[in-house]
Amino acid sequence: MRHRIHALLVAMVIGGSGCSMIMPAAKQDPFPVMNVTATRPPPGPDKVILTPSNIAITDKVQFETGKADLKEVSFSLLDEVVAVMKDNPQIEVVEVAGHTDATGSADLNRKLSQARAESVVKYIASKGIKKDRLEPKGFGPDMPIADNESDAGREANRRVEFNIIKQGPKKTVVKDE
Amino acid sequence: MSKLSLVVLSLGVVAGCKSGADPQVRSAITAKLASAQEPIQACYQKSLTTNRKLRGMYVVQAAVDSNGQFGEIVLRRDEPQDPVLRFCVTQQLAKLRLDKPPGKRVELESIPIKFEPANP
Repeated sequence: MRHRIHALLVAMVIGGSGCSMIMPAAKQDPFPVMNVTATRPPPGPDKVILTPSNIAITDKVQFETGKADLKEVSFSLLDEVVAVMKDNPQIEVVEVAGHTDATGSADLNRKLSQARAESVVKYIASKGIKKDRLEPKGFGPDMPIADNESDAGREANRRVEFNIIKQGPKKTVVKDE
Repeated sequence: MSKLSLVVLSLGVVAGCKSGADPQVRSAITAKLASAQEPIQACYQKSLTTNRKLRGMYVVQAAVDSNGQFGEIVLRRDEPQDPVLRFCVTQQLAKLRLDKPPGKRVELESIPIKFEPANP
């Protein structure tokens, strides 16, 4: 009787712990492949692409380190943004959004990104775009688009975006001959 | 060993060997993953504007907790190697939650996501 109880207990322990003791873990079938396709912009020298929601820039707006002063190297990029806004008067208001990575004080980063956004607005306005079409906003580190753990991620997070926040019906631009 | 012991052993092993999510949970997970396709496509579309060569495969590992919330998202394979796309996709997957909690943690070993431009 004692032997029988003993054997029963052993069987319960082995059985209850499942196959991991006697068989390797079963491999889970992969989930179906999610095929994600999207249209890429046409190749070309354009550094600025107009999308329904923003004026996307393929280059970065550069500033002096720790300051809001624009680097001259970014003037041509911003001139292209100006050209897009002139050619598309239906774009009524663009938010010029400054973002930083998460290094350092968040408050200081918010102030720096606000000052940088204002610098960009000042430059664009100086090229003939009405100031009321531009809304500078500094978000600091609050809206990351990449992780802040890697250099590449931090680099991606330091950015200026041109988000269209108000847009009317398409207007035709008549240029002077 | 008695017959009774053998029966207990067999039942225990069969129960223990039942691995992975049950079919209902798995199909709910599959449907939920499919619902993320559109926002993930938006991630890809946005990333293509800054890098038009971006393409390749992710193999994602994740888990669904007993409440149905997706989490513990890790890329086991990352061919596009783009920090912005990676972050965006991870965020979209982390938003997913099953409508009906599975009641136990479910590991998702392999969720393949293939990114390919629609035009040359």
